Amino acid sequence: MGIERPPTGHDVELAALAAAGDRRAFGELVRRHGSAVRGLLRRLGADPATADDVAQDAFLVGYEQIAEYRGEGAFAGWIKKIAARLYLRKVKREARLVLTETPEEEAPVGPDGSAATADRLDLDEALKSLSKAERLCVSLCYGADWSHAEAAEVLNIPLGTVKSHVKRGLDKLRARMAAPSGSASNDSARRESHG
Amino acid sequence: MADLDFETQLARLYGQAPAFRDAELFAQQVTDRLDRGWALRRVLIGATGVVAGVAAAAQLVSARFSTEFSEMSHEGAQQLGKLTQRYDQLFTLGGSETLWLAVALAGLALAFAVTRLMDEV
Repeated sequence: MGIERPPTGHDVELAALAAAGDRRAFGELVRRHGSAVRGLLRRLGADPATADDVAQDAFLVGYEQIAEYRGEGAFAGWIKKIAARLYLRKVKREARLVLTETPEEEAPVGPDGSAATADRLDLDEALKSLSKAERLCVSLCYGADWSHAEAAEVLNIPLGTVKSHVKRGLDKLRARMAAPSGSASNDSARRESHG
Repeated sequence: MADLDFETQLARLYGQAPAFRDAELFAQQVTDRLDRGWALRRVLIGATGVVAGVAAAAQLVSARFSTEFSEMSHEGAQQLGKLTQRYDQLFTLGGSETLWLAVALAGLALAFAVTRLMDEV
C-alpha cells in the first residue's frame, strides 16, 4: 500500500467527506483550523492548557455535528462558535466567570495614551490590558463573530452590559494599539447594528 | 493602521491564527481521540452482540433443562434413562435447531467482536 495522502479541497468539501465518515478529511480540517481555535480560546482568557483541552473537545463535538454544517459560512467561524460555547460552559461550571461592571486591574499604558511601538500590532499583548469581562466580550464579538445579543444571551447578562464591556474594551485596545481616534463611536454603532 | 477602520483592523487581527509550533501534534491528538472514540464504539457494539447472543443461548439451554427437570420430578427416577436419552437429543441438529442457531449467532457475534478488536489493534 502507498502512503496515504491527506484529503485536499475546500473546507466545505472536506466537511461533506467528514459527514460521510471520512475521519482523515476531518483531520485535515483540524490541521487547517486548529491554531485559529486555540488562539481564539486564549484570547477569550483561557490558559494555554485549558485552551488546548477545550479546542480538542470543540473539534470532537464538531465531528459529531458535522452534518449540521452545510457551508453557509466559513468552517472556521462555525467551529469557533462551538469552541466559544464550550469554553463559556466550562468557566460557568467552574464559577470562574465574573462579569462585573467595574473595570478590573489594567495594564499600564504609555504617557501619550498609546503603548510601546513593539506592542502596536500585537493583539494578544493588547488584550492583556482589558478586564476579563471586556476581553471576553470583545473576543466573542470580534473573534468568534457573535453579535452583542448572542453574547448577552449566552453570558446571561443584560445586552447593555455587553455593549459597555465591548465599548470599554475597544477604547482600551485602540489606545493600546495606537489606533486613530474618532472611530470608537462608529465601531460601536456598527457592532450594535450587527447585534 | 492609521487609515484603516479600527473595527475592521481588529476583526482582521482576530482572523489571523497565531502560529503554534505544536500545531501538527495538536491535530494528531484530535484525530487520535476521534479514532479511539470510534474504536471504542465499535468494540461496544460487538460486545453487546456477544452478550446478547450468550444471553439468548443461556435462556434456551436453561429452558431445556427446566423442562427436563420438571419431567423428571413428575415421572420419577425411573425416567432418568429417558432423560439422558432426550438430553443427548438436545445436541443433535434434528431436535434442537433453535439452540444451535442461537449458539451460531453468539459465535458470529464473538467473531465480529474479535475481528474488530484485531482491526483496531
